[in-house]
Amino acid sequence: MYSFNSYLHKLSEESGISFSLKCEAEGINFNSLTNETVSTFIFEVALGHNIGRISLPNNVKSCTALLKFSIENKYEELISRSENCIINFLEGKEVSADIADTNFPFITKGCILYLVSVDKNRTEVLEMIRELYEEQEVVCFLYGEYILVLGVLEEENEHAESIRDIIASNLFANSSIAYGNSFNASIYIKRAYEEAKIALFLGKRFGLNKEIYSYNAMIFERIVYGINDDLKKEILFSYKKKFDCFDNEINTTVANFIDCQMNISLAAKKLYVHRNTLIYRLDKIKKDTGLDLRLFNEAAIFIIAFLIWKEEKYKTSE
Amino acid sequence: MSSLSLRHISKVYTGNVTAVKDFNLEIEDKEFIVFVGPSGCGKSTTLRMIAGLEEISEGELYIGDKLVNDVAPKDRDIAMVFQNYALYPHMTVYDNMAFGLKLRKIPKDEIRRQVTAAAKILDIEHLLDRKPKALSGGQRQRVALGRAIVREPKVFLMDEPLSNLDAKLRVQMRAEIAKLHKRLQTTFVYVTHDQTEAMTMGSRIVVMKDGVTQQMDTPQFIYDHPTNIFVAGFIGSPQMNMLDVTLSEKDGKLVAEMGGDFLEIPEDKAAFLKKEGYVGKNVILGIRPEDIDDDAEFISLHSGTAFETAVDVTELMGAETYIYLSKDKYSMIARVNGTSKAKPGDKTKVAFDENKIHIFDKETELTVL
Repeated sequence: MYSFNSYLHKLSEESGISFSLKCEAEGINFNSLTNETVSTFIFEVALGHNIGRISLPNNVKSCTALLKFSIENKYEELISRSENCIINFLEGKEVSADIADTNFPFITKGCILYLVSVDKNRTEVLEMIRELYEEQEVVCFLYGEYILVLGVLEEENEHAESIRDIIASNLFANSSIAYGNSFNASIYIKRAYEEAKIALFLGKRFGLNKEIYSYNAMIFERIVYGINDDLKKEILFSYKKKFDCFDNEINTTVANFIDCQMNISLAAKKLYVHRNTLIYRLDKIKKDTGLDLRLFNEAAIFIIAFLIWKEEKYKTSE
Repeated sequence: MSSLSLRHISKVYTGNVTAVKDFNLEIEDKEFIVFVGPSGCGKSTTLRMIAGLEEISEGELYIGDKLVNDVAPKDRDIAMVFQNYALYPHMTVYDNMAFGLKLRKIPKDEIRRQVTAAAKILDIEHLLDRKPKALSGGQRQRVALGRAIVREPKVFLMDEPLSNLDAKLRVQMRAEIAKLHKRLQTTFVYVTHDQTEAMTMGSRIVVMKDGVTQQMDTPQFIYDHPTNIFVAGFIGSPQMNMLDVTLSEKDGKLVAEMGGDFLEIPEDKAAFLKKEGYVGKNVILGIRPEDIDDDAEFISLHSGTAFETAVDVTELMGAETYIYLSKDKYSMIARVNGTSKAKPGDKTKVAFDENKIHIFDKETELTVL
C-alpha cells in the first residue's frame, strides 16, 4: 500500500535524477544524492497538509516543475486521500460511503487500528512502519501525539509486537502500542481509535508498565475506572495500608501471577523463582491482606482493590 | 569489534529508585561478558543503558574510545536480541533478516550477501523462504539472532534471549551462541538470570544484586573463590551448603563445631582464622555439594571432617546422585557418584573435603577464606 518511498527510489533511478526530499511532519526522509553533489537547488512541494523540501543538483534544475508535479500527484494518490479520509472519520466529519470504499477497498476483509506512542524519533518510526508494511494493505501516518496504523493485519498481537520490535531493535527507543476491536466497515474506524486510546490511557493510569495494550484484555481496568469514587474510597480504606507495605518484589509477583492467570508454575517461570518461593510469597500476601490469590473470588477482589490503589497512586503522583 | 568501558554508571528512576549503583566494567574486544543475578538486580537495566534504551543517570559509557552517553542509540553500532523478540509474521525469514539492512538503505546485493552468510552460520539457509509461523521455537530464535548478525555490529547485546525456550532447546542454543561468539569474534554482552548459562557461556561473568556488582571474574574463579555468601549461593547448582558453625580450639586444633560434631580445619586455614580473631566466633561454613562424599575411600582421606548423618532423599541423576542429608538443625546436599548405595531413611557417614571449605563472616557475609 505504502510504496511512496519506493516510488521515490524508482523515480530517481529511472529518470537518472538524484534528489533528496525531506518532510518531517509526513515522516519522509529520502536521499539519492551522492557525496559528489556540490551545489544544489532547493524547492518546496506540497505533501498532504505539509510542505516538503527537495534538493536537486543545479544541472537538472530544469526538471523542477516535472518533478514537483510527479511527486505531489503520487503522494496525493497514495497517501493523502486515505489519510484525510481517516482523519475525517476520526473527527466526525461526513464521509460518503463511496469515498470510503475507494480509499479503503480492503476494509471489509477486517481491519485493526493501532496507536503507537513513542518518546522520540516519531518521524523515523513512521518511516520504519511504512517500510515494514510496504507491500501490505496498511495506512499509517502521524496523528496528534500518536502514529496511527490501520490495515488488514490478522495476527493483531503479533503485529503489535512486530511494531514494538522494529522500534526497539532499530532505534533503541521505547514504545507503547494499543489496539481495540477489529472492524470491517469504515464507520467503526472512530470506535477502534477510541478503544486504542482508552487502552493507552488506562495502561498509564493503572501503571501497567507494558508495551502492548489490547482494549479487550483490559476488562478489569475498564470496570475499575467506571467505579464511583465513594465505592473506590471505601475499598481503598480497607486495603491501602496493606498495599502500601508491599515492596517491589511483591508488586512484581502480584503482576506476574495475575498475568499468568494464577498459574503457579507459569508465573514462577516468568519470575525466575522456584515455585516454592512463589508459594511462600503468595502465603505472605494472604497473611498481610487476608486475600488468597489462588482462590478465584479472593483474587478478583484483590485485583479490583489493587487497581484502585494503583490508580490512587497515579493520581497522587500527578 | 570493539571494547566497552562502563565508568561509575548509575541509573536512578523518578521517585529516587536506584536500579544500578556505581557500575564499573572494562570489557575487552571480543570478550563474552555475562551479567547474571536475580530479578531486579539491575542487569537488564545496565544492558539497556549500553543500548541507549535507558538514559544513563550518572557515569560514562565508552564504546571503543568514543564516549557515547550522548550518541543516539542507533548510531552506537550495536545490535540487540531481546527476550521478547518478535518476528514479522507477514515476512519470510529472508525478509525478516534483511529488514534492518533495508532500513539502512544497504544495496540489495549486499543485503543478499549478508543474509545468506548469516543464514549459513546459523544453519537456516533452507528456511529462508518460510514464514515465521512455519518455524519451530529454536528456528525462530535463530532467525532473531540472524537479524542481529547481519548488521555486523561492533557489540552484540543479548537480554535473556533463551528464556522463552524449553529446557532442552535452551541447552542446545546456549552452545550455539557460544559457538557463534567464537565464529564472529565480536564483543558479546549477555544478560541472564540462569547461573548455568552464565557459567557455560561467559569468558567473564558479572554477578549483580540490588543494583550493585558483587563480583566480576572468570566463571571458574568465581565458583572457586566467591567474594560473599550471595555469590557463593547464587553460582553453582545445587547451591553451596551454608552451615552455621562455631569455630573453637580442641586438642590444639581449630575445629568447626556443628551440632555435636567437630570438623577439623586444615592448618593453613586455621592459622589465618586464628590470626583474624575468629576463634570462638560463629561463622558460616560453606561447602559445595561435590565436596561432600559418602565414599569410604574419600572418608578415610578426610577423616577429620567425617560425621554421621541421616539420608532424607536421594535423587539419581544418572552419572551422579544428589543426597539430601540432615543432622539436627543442619541440612545439606551432597553430589556423589551415581553408584552410591545411600537410601532415604539410612544413617550414613560422610566427610567434607576440608581443603574446599569456605568460611564467611556471619555479620558482613563477606568471605573470610
